[in-house]
Amino acid sequence: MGALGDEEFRAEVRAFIAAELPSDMASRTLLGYHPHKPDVEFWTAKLDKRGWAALNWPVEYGGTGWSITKRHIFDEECYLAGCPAVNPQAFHLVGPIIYAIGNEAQKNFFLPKIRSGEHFWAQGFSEPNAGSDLAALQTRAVREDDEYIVNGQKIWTSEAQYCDWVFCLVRTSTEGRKQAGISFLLVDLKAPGITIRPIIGIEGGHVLNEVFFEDVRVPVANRIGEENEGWTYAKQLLGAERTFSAVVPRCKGLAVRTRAIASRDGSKGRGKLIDDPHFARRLAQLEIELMAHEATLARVVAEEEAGVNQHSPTPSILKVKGTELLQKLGALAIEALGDSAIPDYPEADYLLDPPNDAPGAPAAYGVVSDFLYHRSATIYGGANEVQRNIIAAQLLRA
Amino acid sequence: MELHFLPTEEQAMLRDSVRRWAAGRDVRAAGDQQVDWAYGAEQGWLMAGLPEEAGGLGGSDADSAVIAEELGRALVRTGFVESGMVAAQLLLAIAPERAEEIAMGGVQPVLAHDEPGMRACYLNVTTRAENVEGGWKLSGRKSAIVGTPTSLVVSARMPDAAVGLFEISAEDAPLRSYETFDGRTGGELTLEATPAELLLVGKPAESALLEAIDRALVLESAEALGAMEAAFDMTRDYLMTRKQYGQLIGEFQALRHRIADMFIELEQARSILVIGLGGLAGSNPQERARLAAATRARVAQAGQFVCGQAIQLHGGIGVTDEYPVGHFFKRITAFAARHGGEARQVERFAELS
Ligand SMILES: Cc1cc2nc3c(=O)[nH]c(=O)nc-3n(C[C@H](O)[C@H](O)[C@H](O)COP(=O)(O)OP(=O)(O)OC[C@H]3O[C@@H](n4cnc5c(N)ncnc54)[C@H](O)[C@@H]3O)c2cc1C
Repeated sequence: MGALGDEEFRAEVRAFIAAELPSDMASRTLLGYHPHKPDVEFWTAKLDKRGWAALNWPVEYGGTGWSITKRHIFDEECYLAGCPAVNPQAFHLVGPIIYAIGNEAQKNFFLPKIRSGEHFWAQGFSEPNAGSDLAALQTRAVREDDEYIVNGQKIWTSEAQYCDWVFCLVRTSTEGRKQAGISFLLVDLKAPGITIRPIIGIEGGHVLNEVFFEDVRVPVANRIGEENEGWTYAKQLLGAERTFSAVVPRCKGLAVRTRAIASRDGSKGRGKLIDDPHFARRLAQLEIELMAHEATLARVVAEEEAGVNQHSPTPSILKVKGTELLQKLGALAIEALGDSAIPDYPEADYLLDPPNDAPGAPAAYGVVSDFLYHRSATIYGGANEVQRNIIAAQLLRA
Repeated sequence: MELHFLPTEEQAMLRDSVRRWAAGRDVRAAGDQQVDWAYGAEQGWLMAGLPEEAGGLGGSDADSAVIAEELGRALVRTGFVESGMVAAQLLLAIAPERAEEIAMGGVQPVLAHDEPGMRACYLNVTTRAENVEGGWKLSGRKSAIVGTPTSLVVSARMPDAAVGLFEISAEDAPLRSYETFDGRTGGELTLEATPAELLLVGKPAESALLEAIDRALVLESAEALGAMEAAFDMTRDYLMTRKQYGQLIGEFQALRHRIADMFIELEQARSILVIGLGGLAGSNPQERARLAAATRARVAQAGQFVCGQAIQLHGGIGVTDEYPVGHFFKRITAFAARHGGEARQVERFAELS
């Protein structure tokens, strides 16, 4: 039982997944490598047909209108069953901004294309010298009639290589506070003047990119809200997804996987590592931490739905705790693999049909790669140091 | 137990010479392992840890550790520790008549002892030796063989349950090579009645094997220490150059405390290595094993923290393949995964205490 209850709904979600999700896609996703675009497209279309793609959006924009509790249950069931995740930048970040602040034309054009999976979105906020200090961004947008001419560089742009659009924070004024001169633009990634250069991660995958803008023309009609108000919108967006960055489903999946790895015959001598009380105890300790973390999430959700306690620093708590737990679970999974963790399991070769003489153990496929990639979880989405600053600032306010 | 806290003059010179050689290397790339190996053999790295009467240069494991630390700093992938300092010395102890070939690097042996579920229960050898028509045949599975061996020193259980050490030339060995996730060459042996030469059997084999394992635990820890140092130095420099919010990130107190904690851990690792080396120099095998376990456990603990935080303090650049710091983290992650992991070595320490 999850801390969030609602077993009937859970069963409905399970039945849908069982009927619609191809098993090879599920196995591929559960390995833990970066998602394949065709899988994401396929699953987004399935969800959209059922009306479940935009689970976090209000009904009037084609969303489910579900309570946060229901959304969380849904996310968890999808994650544990191996459903490819929908393009997060589109559904969790730019979509909500478009329906909250965008004009009618923007809503009508973009939202259906996000729901159907026709448009994948990238987030173009960070720059080489504007990471934690995002407001220091320098990509310039200069107005010329009904267009902006954009010049500059974004970095760490996740999945830009297969996205159709990017939403950017750009500088439209250098006057006043640096937060004051920022605007929020929607940019077609196929526009002339855009160059995308890959950045390979330590796990060997290609998620990250640099995106260069050279005299890129963006219609003023693609600005969200008012000029120089982009910072306010972005802040709204960064605070909005309370449950998403808690990575509860991912942690749960990893705990289950670690237990399975340690339960293999011969994982310790002729027996099983999980029967070693020292190991079992350490896994149990993380499972208890995860239980408390999930309950914290559930409590925040309950408070949010009841409209109480709005100003506590809990979103930052959820992000810090979730991401650090994820890294600890990953390290324990590797420990449980022991020597089988050592081979590099290159994604393409091993997805579903490893060669007969493949080294290592199938239980290990994707584990180290996932662990290495998630070193970034304590860095992106507001580094944990910055999150701790936020927590302290809220707690110590006079 | 005699502990050596300060390097000798010779060790300081040795350190400098290895560091000079390694200085220009790209830590992100494996380089040419055969070229490295030939250079190291010529420099006497393989024999640095051996007394003269054993064909060495009159040194000790502490000399090998100096080399290993520098190799770790530069993330040298070549198996100098695995082949040169551990397996070659084991082979030499068993077959002194092969001293010259071994010292010149003409044979590159690797110890094939670990098995998938062994988890540092080192005497739980399940690979079996059978005597068939006057020759020996081995069956079983050996894992995590790191390096590019020309010859494998394989442990197996004899028909009378004693431990035997065998040699199989790499050409005749069913070795499945792979690249490790930290960019080294790894391998697995699936032995199915594979012919092997018997080297040594019974108590002498067991004690030679256990000594080699302890040496591996300690000298690999020295390499890991080098990797931590390099990751630490890089992070310290980064804190003094990267600016956010109009100031050096090294001015943020949270990061000042973190780099201080990293340094504290680094120093603990450096210190426990002295203990581990003291154990290797001693004459009591149980004490040697206990201290080797302690060394491995403490260095793994410190290394995971230091290299993990080295990435963290770099922010996004730290998780890219192009920037070196992640490669140190990968090396430490692999180091910590082997030999049963940190927790298992702690448990061994308790068992041996
Ligand atoms: C895998 C991954 C995916 C990403 N995806 C995207 C994306 O799609 N779109 C996008 O726009 N960005 C993305 N990012 C960028 C991410 O948001 C930034 O990496 C993050 O904001 C940190 O910035 P930085 O990398 O420049 O590190 P820096 O800001 O330079 O930080 C370096 C170190 O200093 C610390 N630090 C900084 N300021 C303080 C302070 N005031 N007090 C204490 N410590 C401090 C940080 O915590 C960190 O440890 C992604 C990053 C990663 C790693």
